[in-house]
Amino acid sequence: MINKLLFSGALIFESLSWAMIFREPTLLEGMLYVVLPHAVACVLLAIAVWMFLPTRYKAPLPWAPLFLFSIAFFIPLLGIVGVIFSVFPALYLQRKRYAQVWQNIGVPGLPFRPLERRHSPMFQDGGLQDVLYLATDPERRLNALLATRRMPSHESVPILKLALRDPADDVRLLAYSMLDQKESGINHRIERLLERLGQDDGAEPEATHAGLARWYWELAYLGLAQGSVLDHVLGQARKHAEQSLALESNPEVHLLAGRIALEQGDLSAARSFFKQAQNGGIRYEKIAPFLAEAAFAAGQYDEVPHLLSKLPEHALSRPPFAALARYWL
Amino acid sequence: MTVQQKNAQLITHGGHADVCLLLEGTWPYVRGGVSSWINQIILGLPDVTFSILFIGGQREAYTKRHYEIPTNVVHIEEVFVEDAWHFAPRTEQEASEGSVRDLQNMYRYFHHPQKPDEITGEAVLGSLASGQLTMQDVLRSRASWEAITEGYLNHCSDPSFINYFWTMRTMQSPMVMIAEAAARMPRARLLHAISTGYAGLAGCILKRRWQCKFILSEHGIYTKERKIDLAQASWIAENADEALNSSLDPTSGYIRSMWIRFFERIGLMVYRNANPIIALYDGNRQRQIIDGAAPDRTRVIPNGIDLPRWNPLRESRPQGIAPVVGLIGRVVPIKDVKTFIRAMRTIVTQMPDTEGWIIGPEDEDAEYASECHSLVSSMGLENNVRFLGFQKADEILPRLGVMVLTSISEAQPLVILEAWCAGTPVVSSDVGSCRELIEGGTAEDRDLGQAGEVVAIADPQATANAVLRLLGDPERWQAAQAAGVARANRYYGEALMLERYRKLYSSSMGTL
Repeated sequence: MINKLLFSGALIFESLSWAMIFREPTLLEGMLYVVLPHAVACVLLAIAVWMFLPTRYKAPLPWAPLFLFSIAFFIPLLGIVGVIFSVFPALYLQRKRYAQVWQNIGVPGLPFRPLERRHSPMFQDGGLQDVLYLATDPERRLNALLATRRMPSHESVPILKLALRDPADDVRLLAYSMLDQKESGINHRIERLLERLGQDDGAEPEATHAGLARWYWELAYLGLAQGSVLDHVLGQARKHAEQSLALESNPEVHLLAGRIALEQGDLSAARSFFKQAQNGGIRYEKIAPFLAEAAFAAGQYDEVPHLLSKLPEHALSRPPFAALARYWL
Repeated sequence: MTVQQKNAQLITHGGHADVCLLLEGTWPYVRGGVSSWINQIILGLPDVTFSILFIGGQREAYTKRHYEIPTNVVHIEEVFVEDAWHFAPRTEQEASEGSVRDLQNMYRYFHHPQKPDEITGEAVLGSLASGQLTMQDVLRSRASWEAITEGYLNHCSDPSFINYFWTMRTMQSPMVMIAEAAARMPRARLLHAISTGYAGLAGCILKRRWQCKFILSEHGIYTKERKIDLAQASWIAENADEALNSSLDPTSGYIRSMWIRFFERIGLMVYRNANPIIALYDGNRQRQIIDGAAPDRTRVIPNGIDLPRWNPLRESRPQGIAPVVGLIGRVVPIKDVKTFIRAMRTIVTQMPDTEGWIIGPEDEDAEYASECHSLVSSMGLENNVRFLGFQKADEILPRLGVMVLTSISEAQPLVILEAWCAGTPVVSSDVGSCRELIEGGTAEDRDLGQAGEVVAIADPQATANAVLRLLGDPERWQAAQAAGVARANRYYGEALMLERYRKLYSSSMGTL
C-alpha cells in the first residue's frame, strides 16, 4: 500500500515538474516549481525502490537509498527508467549459485609441479633428493623416483642410487629396476657392437670401436659403475678408443679418449689426446675445461686460471663455469 | 609312462579334494622358494587331498614340470591368461546383448578411479561365479561397448581410444576365462590361494560358487610386485605427449595407472573375501593391512624347514672354513646375480684363492644368464666364478664357506634356513624379512646373536666386505654359524609350520 502511495506521489510530483519546465520559468520559479517537485519525486521514488531491493542490498545506510536518489535526481527521467529496468532485473535474476562455492583440493605431494611449468626449463631438481631424505610417506618418495624419469640420466642416477638404501621395499625395488633398465640398455648396445665386431665382414670397424668406447664411457660417466667395476669399464673404453684411433684419426674420439684417460688419472696421456683433438679441429674452448681439470689434478694450479680465461665470456658467466670463474679468475 | 601322459591322466582325474590350491606361475612348473613351500605343504600333509588350479601367463612358458605330482593331488586344472587374448572370429549368431548392469558393475569395480564399495564387488563376483557374464558379453555385446566408451569419455585422460579399448579387453577377458575354468573344478571343501592376483580372483569366484572357506597365504606381496613391474613396463603404450613432457610430473599415463588399479582392485577383492590372510612375517602383514586387509583376519605363519633331515648335514662339512662363496637361486634379474659377480671381483682381489659358485638353473631368463656369463669374463673372474646350474641344496650347502643372497626382493627365503642347518653363515641383502632372520626379531631371538650379515641391495662393495669379514675371522664365522643353527632349530621348524596349517585346514573344513 505504502509503495503505491510512494510511486504515485513520485509520478505526480515528477509530472508537475515536467509540466512547469515547458512554461519557461525564471530561475527562481524554476528552482521552486521544477527542481523542488523533481527532488521530492526523486526522494519518494528512491524510498519506494529502496524498499524493493533485496535485503542484502539495502545496507549500508544512507548510501544505498542516496545512490538511488542521486541517479534519479541528476539524470532526470532516464535515471529512473534506468534504475527500474536495469538494476532490478540484475538484482533479482542473478546467475544461479551453487550451494558449494568452494572446491576441496588436497595438499599436493612434494615433488609436485603444475603441468604449465613444462615451458620453463630453469627449475631446480635437487629438491628430489630432499624428498627422498625427508618425506615420511613412501608414496611421495616413489613419486620422487618416478619424477626422475624425465631428467637426464647423469642427474637421475645419484638420486636413484640414494633410493637403493630407502627403508621402504617398494622404493628400493623401483629404484633398482629403473637403474637396471638404464644399465641394461647400455649393456645391450655394447653387446650388439661387440657382436658386429666379431663378424669378419664387419664394415667400418673404427666406428664400431668408437661406439664401444662411447658406451663404456657412458657407464662410467652416469655413475653406474664403481670400484673395481669402474676401473674395468674405463679400461675397456680406453682400449676401444685407442683401437678406433689406430684405424682412423678422429678428433671427437681423441677428445673422448682424453676424457677417459683423465678419469683414469693418466694425465700425460689425457693431455696428448686433447692436443691431438685440438689439432684435428675441435674448438679450443671445448677442450680448455678438460685441460684445466688435468692441470688441477696435476697440482699445476697456476695454469688453471690461464686455461679458464680462454673460455668465451658467455660460457664463464653461466653455470657450470660461473662459480669456477669467480674462484679462479 | 611319459610325463605328458601322466599330466593328461591327472588333469582328467577329476577327483574331489579336501583343499583346492590356487596357484599362479609357480609349482609344479617353476623351481623356487614358493614352489618348494607348496611341495612341502602337499608332501607334509599326506592325509589331505589337494586339487590344483594352475594359472600361467603364456602356455609355451610352462612345458616342463619340475616336481613329481604327489599321490594326494587328485586333480589339476590349467588355464593360461594369454589364451584369453586369442579372440575367436565373430559370427552372426554370437552377437550378444549383454547385461548392462553386470558390465557397468565390472567397470565400476575394476576400472573406475574411485575406490569401489563392497556391494559392487559382490555383484561382479556373483555374475562371474554364476556364469551369467560370458566371454561374448565382455567382448562383443553392446552393453560392454557402452560401459567401456562411457568410461573412456568420463575418466580416460589418454587420448588414444584404441589403447584404452584394447587395454580394457586385455584386462576383462582373462577374468571371464578364469571364471569358466573355475566352473570346471571339482568341488573341494576348502580354498587356499598362494597369492592375490588371478589366483586370488579364482579363489573369490570359487568361494562364491561353493560357499566354503577361503584361505590366502601370501609369500611376496603380489600387488606390490605388479606395481613395480608396471611402473617400468615398456609394453604399455605411452602417449606421445607424455614422452615430450619435460616437467617432473610423477604421474605415468592413464593406461599404466589403469593396469595398476586393476591389480589393486583384485587384491582388495581377495582381501575382502579371504579369511584368514596369512603372511610369512610381520612386515608383510602390515603391508596387507595397508592394502585393505582387515587386521583381525591377518596372521603370520613363518616358513619352516625339515630339521631332522637338514641338521645331520653339518656332519658332512669339511674341516675349517671353505674359501667358497655361494649364491643359490635361479639366475634371474630379481636375484641380482650381477651384484654377486661384482662383489666377487673385490673378494678375489683380497683373497685370490676364493671361489664364487652360482648355483641355480639358467633356463628361465637365458638372456640375463648370458649377460652374467659375459660379466664374469669381462671382470676377469673365469678362474674364480663358476656356474654350477641346478644342484641339490643339501649336497652343495655344506661345501660353502659363506652363502650370499643378493636378491632385490624376497619374503622369507627358505634357502637361508637351509644354509643355517648346513652350518653356513649368510650374507644377505636387506629385503623382506632377511634382517629379522639374520639379526633376530624379538629380544629373545636377538640374544642368539647374528647369523651372518645384512647389507644394502645392489651394493657389491658392502657385500664383498661382509663376506671378507666372515671368511677372514674364524671366531666371527663360528659365532655366526652357531647363531644360525640355534635360530633355525628354535623358531623355524617345518613341523611347527605344518602343524599350524593342519590346524587351520581342519578348523576351516570342520574336521579332517
